[in-house]
Amino acid sequence: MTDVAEMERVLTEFARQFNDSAELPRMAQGWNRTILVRATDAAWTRGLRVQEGAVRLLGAAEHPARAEIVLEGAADTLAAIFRGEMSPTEPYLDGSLIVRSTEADMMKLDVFTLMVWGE
Amino acid sequence: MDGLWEGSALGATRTVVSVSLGSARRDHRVRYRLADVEIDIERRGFNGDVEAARQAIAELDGRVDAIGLGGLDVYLYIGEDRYVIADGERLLQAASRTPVVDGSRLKRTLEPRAVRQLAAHGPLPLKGLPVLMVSALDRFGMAVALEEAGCRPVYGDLMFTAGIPYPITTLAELQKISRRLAKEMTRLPVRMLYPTGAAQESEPEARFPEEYERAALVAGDFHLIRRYLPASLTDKAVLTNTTTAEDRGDLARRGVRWLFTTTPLLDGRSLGTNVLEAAMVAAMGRRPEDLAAADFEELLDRIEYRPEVVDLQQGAAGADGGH
Repeated sequence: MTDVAEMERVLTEFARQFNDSAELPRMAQGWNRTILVRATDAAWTRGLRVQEGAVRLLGAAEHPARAEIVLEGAADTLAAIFRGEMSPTEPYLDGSLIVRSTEADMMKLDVFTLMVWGE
Repeated sequence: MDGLWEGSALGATRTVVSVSLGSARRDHRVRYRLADVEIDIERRGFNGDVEAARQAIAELDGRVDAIGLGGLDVYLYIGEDRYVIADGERLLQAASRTPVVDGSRLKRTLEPRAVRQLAAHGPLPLKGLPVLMVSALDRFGMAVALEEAGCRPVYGDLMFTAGIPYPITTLAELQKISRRLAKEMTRLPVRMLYPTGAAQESEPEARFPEEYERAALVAGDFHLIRRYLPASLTDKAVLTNTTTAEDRGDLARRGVRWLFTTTPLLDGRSLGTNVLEAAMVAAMGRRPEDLAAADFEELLDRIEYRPEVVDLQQGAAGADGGH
């Protein structure tokens, strides 16, 4: 099972890929959101902050009580999504990924996740 | 008659029903004479209810000559790539005897042809014209034709479908982005991708009005254009398909000068492309999977197809307002 240290590495790499993309920082302009990633089968939650087109991993002490987007699922599923090994659409549609957000935010996050990892 | 009309009988009336995820307020019936075949066309809207639409298709199966599927695309053709929208595919599979078509095959022939005719005979020079295509992934053929005509396009797929402030300005970038997104996005519920049901009736909410302002021609799916319309579109042109008299009045009030529709105006409304494709399939009496682009081209030649051109500030059809 993906532990918290591994998930931090995954999210850090995701943020790096996002920030290095030619398109994504432009696409995310004005979309300032906190995303909490919560494993339902492990005792960890980690957060990302998207601010003015850049993504960074939040320290544990920075986690807000509430976030605009909360993703909940098995630790390995969450890691697979942020590694680009699994599309978020599939676990979302079969119920193994719970997305707590507006539909508009969910759509944007889906686009950005797919864009990070390419074809 | 020639060999085009293999299954059709001269003088016979064909029946086509368009099952739409759009609003039932747009329901209507009309009789259309397509070359030598009379076709009764009925449109039934299901207000975004995919299951009700599926049941309706199952009930119509075997009882009508062709079924059109409106309010969503099933197939997106982007260059050589084809993507299938999952909700749409489920609807197609509800019928096993009657052909069900979504308009996407015809669109690939009809829309480039409409653009070429507008370039040659329309009231606006297309070369150098700034164009906003609110979405191009559902009308890639139109996008290609507009670029070939020398237009300066912005493709609004990310802006108007996902709310992402990223205008796409080349077909190559559109294809690159579609390869990353389309396969997965087409698995989402159709209501997340496209305005259906009540969303087609709600008051427009301006989104990215600067892109409408920049454009001289706004093109693409009418429901998507309408959903995000700004208050003023003075002297602009709109290139789309499905419109009603009410829609034209709305566009005229916003100052739109020219309305170009790729499908014929009948009883005050322009047909959905799915309806026209279903009518053509019914008239030809052939399975849609057996039809090639050349078959549609031949039929379009036969009816001397031209896009509709309406001067909304004059309230009358323009000189080239044909079929």
